Amino acid sequence: MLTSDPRLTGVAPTSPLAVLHAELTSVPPVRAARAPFLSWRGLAGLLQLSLVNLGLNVITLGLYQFWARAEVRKRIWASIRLAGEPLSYSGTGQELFRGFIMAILVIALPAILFPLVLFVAIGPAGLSIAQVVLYVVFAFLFGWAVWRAQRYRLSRTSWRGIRLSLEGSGWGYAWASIWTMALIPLTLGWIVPWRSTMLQHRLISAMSLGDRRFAFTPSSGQLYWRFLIVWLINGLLVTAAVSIVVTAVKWGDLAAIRPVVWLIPGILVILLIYGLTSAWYRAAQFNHFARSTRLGDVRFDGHMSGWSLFGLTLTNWLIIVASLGILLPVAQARNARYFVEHLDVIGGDELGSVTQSSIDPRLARGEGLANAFNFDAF
Amino acid sequence: MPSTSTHSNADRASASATGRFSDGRSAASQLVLVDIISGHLVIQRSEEPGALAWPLSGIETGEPVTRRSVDVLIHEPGRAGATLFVADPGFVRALGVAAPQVTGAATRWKAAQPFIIVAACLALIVGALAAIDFSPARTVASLIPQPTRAMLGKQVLSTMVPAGQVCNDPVGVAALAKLTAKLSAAAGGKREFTVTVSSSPVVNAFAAPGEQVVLMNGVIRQADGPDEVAGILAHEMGHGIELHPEAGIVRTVGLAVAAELMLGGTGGGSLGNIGVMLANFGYTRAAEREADQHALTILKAAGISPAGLGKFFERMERRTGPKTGSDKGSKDRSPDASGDDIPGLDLLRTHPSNAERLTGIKAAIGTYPSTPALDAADWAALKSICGNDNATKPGQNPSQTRQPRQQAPSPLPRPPVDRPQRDI
Repeated sequence: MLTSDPRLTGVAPTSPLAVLHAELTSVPPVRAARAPFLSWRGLAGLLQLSLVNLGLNVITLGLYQFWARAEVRKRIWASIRLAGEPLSYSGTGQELFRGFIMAILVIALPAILFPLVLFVAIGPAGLSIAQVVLYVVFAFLFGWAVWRAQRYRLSRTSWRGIRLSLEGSGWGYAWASIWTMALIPLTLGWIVPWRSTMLQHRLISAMSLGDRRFAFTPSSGQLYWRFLIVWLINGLLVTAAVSIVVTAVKWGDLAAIRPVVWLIPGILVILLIYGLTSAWYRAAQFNHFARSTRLGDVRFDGHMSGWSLFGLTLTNWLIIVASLGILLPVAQARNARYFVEHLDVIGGDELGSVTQSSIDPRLARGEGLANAFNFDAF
Repeated sequence: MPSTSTHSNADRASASATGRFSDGRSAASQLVLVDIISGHLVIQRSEEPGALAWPLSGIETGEPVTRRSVDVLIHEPGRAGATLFVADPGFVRALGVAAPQVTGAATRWKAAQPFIIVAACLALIVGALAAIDFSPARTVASLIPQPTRAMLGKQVLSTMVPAGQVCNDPVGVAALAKLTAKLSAAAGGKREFTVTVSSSPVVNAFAAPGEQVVLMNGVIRQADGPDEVAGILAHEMGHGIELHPEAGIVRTVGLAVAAELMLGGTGGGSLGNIGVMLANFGYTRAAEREADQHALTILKAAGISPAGLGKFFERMERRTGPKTGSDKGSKDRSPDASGDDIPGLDLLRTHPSNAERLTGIKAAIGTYPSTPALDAADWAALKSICGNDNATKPGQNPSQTRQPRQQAPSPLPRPPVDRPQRDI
């Protein structure tokens, strides 16, 4: 296309042809005209990679898994294209390994030692107290861990050399997550759309690409009519499930033919309906969140559908179960592909003016003890 | 403008291509020309006169390069931030050759290499240990401190012999203690064995951890004389001396619980069904051979003839048929007077090669002076350790119970004529 290439034509850099060439470089020629800004470049070879990783895991007694995960992520990230150029994942297996060790030390050890200490100090009652305390603490830490994991992954993601980032320590998010979670049973679930929107708002508003911050316009109102439908259907399903079990038990022994015959298909149908309605709601939520997000003047839109999302979830589940987890990378890639193909980036050409953020993720480790917990549980 | 198709380099592994370059300071990207020249990646930008040269040995790529790669994202060495994206399969192939550290195989090997080396060393060590027939379970078992072993033994005892089944007639217990002490002394005296008698009619005996032996009443009932019981006890003591019960537990529960035991712990809930565990695992042939050898040594040191033990094995073999498994038929089975058929003899089920064992025993008969393991009075006392019903041998007329039994000193004692003939 660019036959005015100075090297080929032997034309001097200052010639008109070279100037034309320089002008043309402002247009990204890598993608065809009118191609989506965000696109997915096919990812082949994951089946082989899964098997190779399995072999290496076996030989190294499982220790290779962190590097395997890092390589899978690199491949998936590289298939996500903005203006035809790939995202880059710079995380290493070593970081995942360290995160794993930290998680063991920070979570598993106290989980074992704390009940023991209480038991020694107080007696058997200490075990119950310890259980309750640990439950609350872990519910809180879960929200914090979600934030930290996002922050880790974003800081290791870059496009054209520009890094993504998530600002903030995660405690605010963790607190918001837990106090709203406690309200879920109290409101019979009605707080869920508002809660999801609020947490998404917190997350997106702290995200940046380079020096440009994302923005999220929180509004959960549109989600509620769908949520109402899902809530009603789920209520019917729960009632149906309970009545099935109750009648089966009431008829005496579960060994009797008649109850069991429609017990299992009944449960399957219930799961199917639940899966469909849940996918329908999640798709709508994703599309709504996408439309509520901005990056400067760049806008987003989503066009997921309940059917396709349900199909994806179901087939992924089958893939993972049938392969005993070996083909997990395949499922992950399918998820990423679905995400990319159903998300639109509008006005992305304007992203060329984004500049690098000033915080080096490696230097960020010096922020203090909190950064020692910069681990990832993915 | 001359139209050349120099940009479709896909069909040859060319080392030059066009790419998009970002300097890492902003997200703008520009078209550049890329070359691989003498170990460097040479990048010519159109705005700037000079060319960038990145040493190939220092570059990293966004994802590992494989044969299927059609494009590549290259990071500036030292992660200074600049990136170069080339969508040219031929160039990618050439890059894979010129900078092999970016290929998938190289990155995977680099990551896995230390672990593979460690795993290979471990495999060599384990293989070497297996080759010299080293028994890690036995070593671990020997590291378990004595109090823990005693605790394990008590657990087994309480599982296998409920309190109500322990036979504790005082005179019988005293007689048994004499026999046990004699055998323990003969075993070298380092370990003090404790024998518990269970009222179960099963013909079985087993060793439990912590120098414990459990003897079922069935053995005593069908025994011809104290030498038999002594031989069986000596065999089980052999198992105890070699720590077979402890090693068996270690093998069954695995390294984690074994480590706990080594540190003097209780093994937590994993040892709940310890008795069941012990009853379920079978000793290996080697283990049985060791126990047999100990039995002969102990009997010899205690001056007890091994003939009794030999007779026991012969009798058991006749009862249940040959070890090949074919049932000799009910004609060889003789239900005892109380009517219950003696169930499958656990003692022998896992013991292979009966003939071999008998050979060793028969060879030792008569090679040293021997006295009965217990005198007549003690033997009578032992026989009634579980109450008087033991005084009646299966098939014997109960009215003849009061007569003291004659103990013939010859190797294979024949029963006194006044007793009904049994299938010896």
